[in-house]
Amino acid sequence: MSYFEIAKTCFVDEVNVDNYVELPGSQKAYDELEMFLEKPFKLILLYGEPGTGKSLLLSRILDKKKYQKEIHYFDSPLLEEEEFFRKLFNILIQKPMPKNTKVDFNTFVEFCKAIKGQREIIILLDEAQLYPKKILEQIRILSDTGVLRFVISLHKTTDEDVIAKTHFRTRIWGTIELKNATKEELKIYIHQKLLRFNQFEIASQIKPKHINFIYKVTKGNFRECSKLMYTTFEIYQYYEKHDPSQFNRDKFSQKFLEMAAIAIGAIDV
Amino acid sequence: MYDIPELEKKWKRYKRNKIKKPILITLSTLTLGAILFLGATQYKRFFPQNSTSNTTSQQAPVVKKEPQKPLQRKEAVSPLKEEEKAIIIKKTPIPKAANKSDDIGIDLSNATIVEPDVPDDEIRVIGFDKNEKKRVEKEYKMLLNPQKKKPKIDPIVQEYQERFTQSKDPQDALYLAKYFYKKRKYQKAEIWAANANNIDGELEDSWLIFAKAKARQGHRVEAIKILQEYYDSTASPKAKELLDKLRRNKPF
Repeated sequence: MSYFEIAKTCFVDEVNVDNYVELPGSQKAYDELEMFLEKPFKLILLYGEPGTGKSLLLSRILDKKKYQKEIHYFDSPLLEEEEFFRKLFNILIQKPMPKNTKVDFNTFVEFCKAIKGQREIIILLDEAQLYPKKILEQIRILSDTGVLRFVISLHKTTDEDVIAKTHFRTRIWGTIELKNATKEELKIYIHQKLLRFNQFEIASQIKPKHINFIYKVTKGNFRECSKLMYTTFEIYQYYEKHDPSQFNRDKFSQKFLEMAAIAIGAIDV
Repeated sequence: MYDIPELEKKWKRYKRNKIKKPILITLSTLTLGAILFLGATQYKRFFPQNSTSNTTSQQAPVVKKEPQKPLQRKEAVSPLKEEEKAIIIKKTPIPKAANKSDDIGIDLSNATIVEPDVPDDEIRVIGFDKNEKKRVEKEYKMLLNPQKKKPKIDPIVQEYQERFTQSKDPQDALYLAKYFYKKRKYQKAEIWAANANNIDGELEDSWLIFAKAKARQGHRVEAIKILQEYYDSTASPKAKELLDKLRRNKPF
């Protein structure tokens, strides 16, 4: 694998707990979520702009707590009611729902009431803004049983207000907002991503002026930053193959960084 | 993959636009300045400043004779402030102050060199301004205590070292161990790997780096012993692989 191919790999956009970079902001959010889970909160709202690390935070909490608590992660939204109940059945009964079977919602509620005090199940719902309102309403009712607790992750849009105000206004006990990184955090993020793959040379070539530029065009958004860095190394790879005289191996190319920003649409030419 | 030649064209356009802006701003500022300047001179030509005074005062100008003050002799050298009185270069075995000043290229022709009321090996130089004093002090310091050049430390490494002292994060120590191992500074790599191990004994990479760094420094037997202990408790395939290589004296 070429030098830049490895560097590119560092910034592949994937939810991988092993590649988690510990930053002050995200650690604070993790600690808050952990604290909320220890308290008897029925609903916890986790919100932030896309690319602020919500899914990674949920994956991390799942990874850390899966042996201590009964915890489940719905990584993609379940848009059909039947599909949602099938998954819920699997969790509650610990068996797959038989084919050609339908379960009434009230039966679920009754079942939850019956096992109250015996089991406490945490469900992490990612991309909750995509769930139909009816399912959200049912989630609210299920959370009232005290058996199912939900961590609801959604984008910081008007939907978040709608959900917060209409369905859960009186029930959401814990809210956690994930924000974009600060300049300092972005620097640590980029360096740690590279160092995780032993890319010391490249990491040491990235100077404050590059960080300033990256921060300016990405506004500290992790996903945008990863996209920008990934594209930059893709451009490096192209020139390495076609015209190596275009860059100096001892210096990080501001030109390639700017080209990448144009390519991903972060800069309007 | 992007169309890179096309992207480069766009980048050139972006650079041109980026340069255009400050140039345009500078040009417009200069133009505005020039217009204002010309406007002002034209205004002065048509409306000279004394025209108003002519209209208001019709009387003949009266020349007041002020009693001539006797010219005071200015002091050639202004008195020195207390703080500026002296630069003291202590414990400097210099036989003659003037000779020494020549050595470092300082013009002492206007300076007052006085016999110090201190032991012979101290010198007092009076009469420089503050900046000059700083320069002299610096040059003397350099001359008398030439500082050894500090080895360059990678800023990231420095940052990680500083962060580790505060956070005690084993991952930071592991990064440093990896870094130093890659740079073939095996002793440092061993220390950092040991740091990581001390905090978190379950970091496999730090055990491997620790053993490899030991072996690279010629302590192969010790490396095997340590690795064997780790392998016995974890049955790690990576540790086994390295252990085999070390035992068979194969490159790792």
